[in-house]
Amino acid sequence: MIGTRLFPGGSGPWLIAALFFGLTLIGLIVPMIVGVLWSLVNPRAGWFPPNLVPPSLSLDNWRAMFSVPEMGEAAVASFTIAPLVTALCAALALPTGFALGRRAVPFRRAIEFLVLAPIIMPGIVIATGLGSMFIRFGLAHTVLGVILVQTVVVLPFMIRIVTATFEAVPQDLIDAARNLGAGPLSLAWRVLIPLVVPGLFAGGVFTFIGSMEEFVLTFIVGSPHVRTLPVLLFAYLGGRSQIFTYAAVVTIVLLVPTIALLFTAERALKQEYLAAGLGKM
Amino acid sequence: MAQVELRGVTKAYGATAAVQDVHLEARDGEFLTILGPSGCGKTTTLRIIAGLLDPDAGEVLLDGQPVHHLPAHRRETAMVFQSYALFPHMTVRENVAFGLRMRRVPGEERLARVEEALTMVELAGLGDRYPRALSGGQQQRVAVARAVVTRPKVLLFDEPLSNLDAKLRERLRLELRTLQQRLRVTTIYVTHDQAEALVLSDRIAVMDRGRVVEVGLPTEVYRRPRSRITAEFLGIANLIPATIVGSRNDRYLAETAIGRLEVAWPEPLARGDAVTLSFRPEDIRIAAGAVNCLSGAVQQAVYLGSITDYLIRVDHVVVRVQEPGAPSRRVGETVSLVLPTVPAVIRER
Amino acid sequence: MGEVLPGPVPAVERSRLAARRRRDRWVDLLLLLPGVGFLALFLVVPLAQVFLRSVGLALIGEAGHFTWDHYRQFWVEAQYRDGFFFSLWLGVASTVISLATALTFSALMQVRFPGRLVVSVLYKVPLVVPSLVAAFLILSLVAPGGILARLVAHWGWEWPRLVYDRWGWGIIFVLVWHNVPFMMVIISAVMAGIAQDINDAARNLGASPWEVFRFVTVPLSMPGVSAAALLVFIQVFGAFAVPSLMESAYPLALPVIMQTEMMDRANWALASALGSVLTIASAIVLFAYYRLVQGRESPAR
Ligand SMILES: Nc1ncnc2c1ncn2[C@@H]1O[C@H](COP(=O)(O)OP(=O)(O)OP(=O)(O)O)[C@@H](O)[C@H]1O
Ligand SMILES: [Mg+2]
Repeated sequence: MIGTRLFPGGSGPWLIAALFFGLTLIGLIVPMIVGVLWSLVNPRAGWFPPNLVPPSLSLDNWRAMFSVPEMGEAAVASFTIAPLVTALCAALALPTGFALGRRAVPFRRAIEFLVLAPIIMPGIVIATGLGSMFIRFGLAHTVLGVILVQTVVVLPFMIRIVTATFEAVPQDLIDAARNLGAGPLSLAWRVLIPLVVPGLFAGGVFTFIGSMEEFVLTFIVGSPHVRTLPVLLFAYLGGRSQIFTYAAVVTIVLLVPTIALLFTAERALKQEYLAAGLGKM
Repeated sequence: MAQVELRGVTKAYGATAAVQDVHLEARDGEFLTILGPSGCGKTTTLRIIAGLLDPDAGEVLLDGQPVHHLPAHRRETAMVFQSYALFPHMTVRENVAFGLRMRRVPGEERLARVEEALTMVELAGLGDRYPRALSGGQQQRVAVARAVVTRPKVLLFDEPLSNLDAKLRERLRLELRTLQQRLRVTTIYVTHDQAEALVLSDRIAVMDRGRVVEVGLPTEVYRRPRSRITAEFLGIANLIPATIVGSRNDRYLAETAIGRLEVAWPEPLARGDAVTLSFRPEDIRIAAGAVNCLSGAVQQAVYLGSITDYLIRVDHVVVRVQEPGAPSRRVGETVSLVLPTVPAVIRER
Repeated sequence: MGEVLPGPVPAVERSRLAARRRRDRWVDLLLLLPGVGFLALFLVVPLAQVFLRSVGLALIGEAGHFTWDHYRQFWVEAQYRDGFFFSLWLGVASTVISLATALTFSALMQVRFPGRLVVSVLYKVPLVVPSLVAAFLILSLVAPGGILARLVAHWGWEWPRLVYDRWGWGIIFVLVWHNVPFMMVIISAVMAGIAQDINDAARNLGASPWEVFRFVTVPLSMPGVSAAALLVFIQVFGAFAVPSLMESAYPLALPVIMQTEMMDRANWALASALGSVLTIASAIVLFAYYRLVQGRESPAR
């Protein structure tokens, strides 16, 4: 460890701990609490300055949000689109990742650059092109269109992670399996696939969260007919009249599942995968 | 130049005691080797001396002064790592200059000293290369140059030759010895290679399972080991448990599984003492004799070039014997052996 | 028995080899098709569309005639130019601040301190928080009338104007909040990959903890650090959501202008020209990055 002796007397680690926990408190916990409070504000009493806490709490906002169709529709849209995008990405990335990770494919540099492009391109530019294209094809404002545009921006992460995972499989292992009599099919099924499952899972977590979060492309291609949770949130926060109470409700509906996923999949988000997916370009 | 002393140094990782109550002293200008099997705590000991690791108990003294308050970068020790730990982003010259830069040695002098160190390890022409463009042996020399250039009080080596092939290893260990004698810098050298230890050291400290088992001159630890571990770890030993049953003409009589043997030993032994006798294979002769003569059957004969290695069965004990030259006895043949009367007597069973 | 010499490969054998190679090519193609085909269709085609539209032509839909007018408009009209520079400013400022913060935090994270495990999980939370949510959370904290403003008002102080301001400090704050964990993940991974022996060697040679960081850790982390910085810059440069929520009336970030042109005015041609400008600027940065990395590549490994 670099800093075991950074500060003599052993106070260093405590100072660092204090710094990090202080930042977490101010930067993460307090905003979250404020967010939850906003969702519980009693609309008749409001929450105006200089009150530090709302004068009275109620579940009215939650009731109101779930009684209007837009909230339910957005939640349904988000939670159906994300798994579909994930599945589509996995299906597309698996063969391509295998080819890139283990075979001597032609035009490798060009293909790698193509895969990198959506990561390093401003989303709004891709949205401009796809928007004008999808209007022509009748895909604008449809769920299918939204699935397709989200896939464009999250697929590269999946491909890169799957490729890196395939690359990491030692050739010796494959040779050993062959030597023990495994044909191409049992090799794929019994050796390769089990070995890349962790990478695929990590990629899936990424893709799912990426899809849940995606805003610009969904907004430009999907709205006003297809609205996911982030698009709805934008509607409440944007414009001249911010509706913090409703925004808070949407925020919680959006955040709780993704943070839960983060905590359950913490192991899958291991730094190797992230670094493999992004670290080297 | 300095003297290093460890007093009761102890370090545990969770439940594993890596180093236990180690007392050790390296005298001024001495080449002390710590020899021991893998995992016995050698690296841990070195890292504690360098201040890279804090001991749980005990203290390290440099020139008689406790140094526990000195962080690693203020201790005047220089370490050569097993992996060499060369900085991959710096050239050879930058690597060697690093320690001087940290000590704020001015540019002119720094350059001169770096060149001097590189010349000393015969790498003068390679200063601008990156470590990955060097062979293993060259990397090792860079690591040595980087350590000595700072003129440390103590040089620490952690198995610096273990990643090299046998020929190179032999050559470099002679070079290291010459270098150390020229610089006269106190050196603590860690290895698990007994030949290396014997060639290099002024004294050898044998370590086992976190403890220093014994310390002595190379000849002492080889000829007169005080523990079974030392006897077994340095060279090959026939260890035969024995009980002292009496004495005759300055020699003790020892009862063993292969019969009663006569043993000369300078220290007093008492009747009934339970000991272990250690015979080196090269000290046993296949011949007839009057004293300590046994008879056995050749079980195996392996030709090793300069010597032949025999396994000879005497009763239920297999004795290892080495004789110069090609095999002269066939497997199955009955031969007589003469055991020397001067084995090492180890006071443990 | 006569010795068997390796003779010339028989013709049958040779054609079989060629057939095998041909089949391999087809297998490659088939395997690559799903991923690469998808990206070709839904990325390359639309991008071509953007560039063509920006000069009045079109790949899909009614083609007009070639013109540079939209680019001229970008350069002549101050609102577009200012939008470009505003986005550039956001990108540079967010990247620099995020980078300095992430480097420091990553280094501190290498130290063993009480609660490190908890922090190492918690700091990743912003990774999964959509930037819009981040904007909302930060707005409710630092906006005029936000919690902090109310808090300091209790003591009679005035809260500085951090959102809807000319320099977009609120935007930068949100983007930094969002990007620091992202950078930390990458940088920590690279730092954790530096062998412990290397750090120890530096300390043994007399480097203080700060000097180890400065001369060993940072240079050896450069590949990850620069990649992370590049990604953050390009993302912020093209960011739409956060600026659109938190910026002042003027200047507007270029992506926000693009969105208005597209969705409110259906002026796809101008939006495409602005998009092309954004892309070209990003490409220049990317190119500079590759030059920089290539220059450093030799020492890096
Ligand atoms: N960081 C650590 N965490 C837990 N246990 C450790 C750690 N480092 C060393 N050990 C344990 O402490 C003991 C001594 O380790 P050390 O590295 O000092 O051995 P060594 O004598 O240098 O071995 P080798 O010859 O293989 O290098 C070993 O049992 C090892 O498993
Ligand atoms: Mg070791």
